[in-house]
Amino acid sequence: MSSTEAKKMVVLKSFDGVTFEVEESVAVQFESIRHMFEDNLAGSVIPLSNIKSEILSKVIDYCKRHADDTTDEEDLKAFDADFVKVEHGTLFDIIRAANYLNIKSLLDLTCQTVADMIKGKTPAEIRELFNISDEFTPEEEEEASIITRFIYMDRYADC
Amino acid sequence: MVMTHLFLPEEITIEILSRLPVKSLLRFKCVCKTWFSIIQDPKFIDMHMYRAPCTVEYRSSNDTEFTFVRYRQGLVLERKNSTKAYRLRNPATKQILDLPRPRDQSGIYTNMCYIPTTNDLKVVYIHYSKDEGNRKVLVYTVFRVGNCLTWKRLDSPSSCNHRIVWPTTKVLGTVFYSIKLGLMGDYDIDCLDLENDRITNTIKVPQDFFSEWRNIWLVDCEGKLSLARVEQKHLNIWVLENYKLHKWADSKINVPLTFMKDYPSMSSENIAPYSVQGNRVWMYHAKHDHQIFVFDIESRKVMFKTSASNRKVLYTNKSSLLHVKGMRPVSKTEKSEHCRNAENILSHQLCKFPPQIVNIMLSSVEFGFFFVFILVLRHLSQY
Repeated sequence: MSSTEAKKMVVLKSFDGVTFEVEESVAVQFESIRHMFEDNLAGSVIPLSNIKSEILSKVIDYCKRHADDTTDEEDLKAFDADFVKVEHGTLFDIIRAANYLNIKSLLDLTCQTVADMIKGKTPAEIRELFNISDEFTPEEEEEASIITRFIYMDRYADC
Repeated sequence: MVMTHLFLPEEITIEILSRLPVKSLLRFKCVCKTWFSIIQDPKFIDMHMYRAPCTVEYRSSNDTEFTFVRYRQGLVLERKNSTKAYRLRNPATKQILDLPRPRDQSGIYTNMCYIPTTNDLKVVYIHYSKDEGNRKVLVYTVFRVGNCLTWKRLDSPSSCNHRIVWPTTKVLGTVFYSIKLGLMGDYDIDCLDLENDRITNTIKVPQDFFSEWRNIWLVDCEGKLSLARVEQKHLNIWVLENYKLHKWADSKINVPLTFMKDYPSMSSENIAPYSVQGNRVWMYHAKHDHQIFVFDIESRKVMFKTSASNRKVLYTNKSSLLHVKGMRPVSKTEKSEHCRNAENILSHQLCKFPPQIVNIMLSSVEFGFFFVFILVLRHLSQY
């Protein structure tokens, strides 16, 4: 982008009515709404009716950092590591926003964070964390847990 | 904390689950019905395999019970030394499947291929036979795992006029390539379409490709079959652009292997390139110890190197949930057998690759060259 040319801006509006003005170079990372500002609707506000301002500001922050070519790889890694150090609820909100806006790198980062967080947990802990009530019938649970038990036993046999 | 906020739509759940190790997934099958059905779904298994990190492992080459044949899609193909029977094993899910013994026991090469469209796994076994005129013919037999009890024989069309040298194979996608040396010192490549179990064509390799026809390797170059040879510290690659049209690339790719000067003990004939993806060349070096190198063409740097001492064979590993019809859990008696085996495998993780490198390894790797040599030598010694 030439520096003499005025930077094209896009206005985004969150669920709770807060507007954010971002450079187009940042907003192009929002794959799913890209067509809206590429159609050159100058000055129009793009509503994002299911993202809270708190989350949208974080997502924009992330995209700004990743659009900046001058940041070196190490700094970006440190930024990413810091970025996901949030409460579970916030992390899940960011995942939903990244999924809705189709920001692949952010979806990768946050899903990997959740995967690392849950990989050592028990099924009961998972149900609690994900608020899952859809349980098996006792017979089904028994069947599924045979496999589980087998895997646990095997873990010790492997050591 | 408001728990309802933690509800995630199924597409995101799949995104998260596809990044988990196999052990966690097996345990999470009993979280709920949705998770159970996601984890069983062949599409998910495929997606998970694609994302799983790749590790380089080594195992002892003097395992007395089983000979490691090949590793593909998370499954190990191995042969029992006492009975020569083959079996498939998924080390991550601890499931095994015994294959019926091929009728002919003089097999010289075995490879396998996963067909995603039909969810089939096919094992190809190559051996020699005699035709009516008592001439030696090369025979391919294909075994469709889990669906039949016999090996299906496919005859090689131009099989009568070649010597028994250098049968080496490569599977790319669902096509199986096998290169063989003819009586006049010419090379032919048989192409097998494993989706339809047929030999599609045999490609003549132009004689002027290389100055010398020793140590020619089959290489996966961005998903295309290529021939490669290391000559005077340069890697030369000819790409087969289209196997059906017998079309070769107009010129060969030449890569100076600048790193070789840093490893004085390394000689050209011990280097076996096996994959070129992006700017990276994957090479196997087998002399006193076995090494895997990843060389970046642009920066001329070795990006990754690992080695294992004598009597150990390096191979790339990837755990998957892949389940082939007919597989059963390892039984109690076999359990001890498996544990003994596990000690021999010495499968300590040497390195984890980032996801972008992982795919390269999955699609391409010709595993266990060392065993290829053994198999070939063993076979030659019979003549």
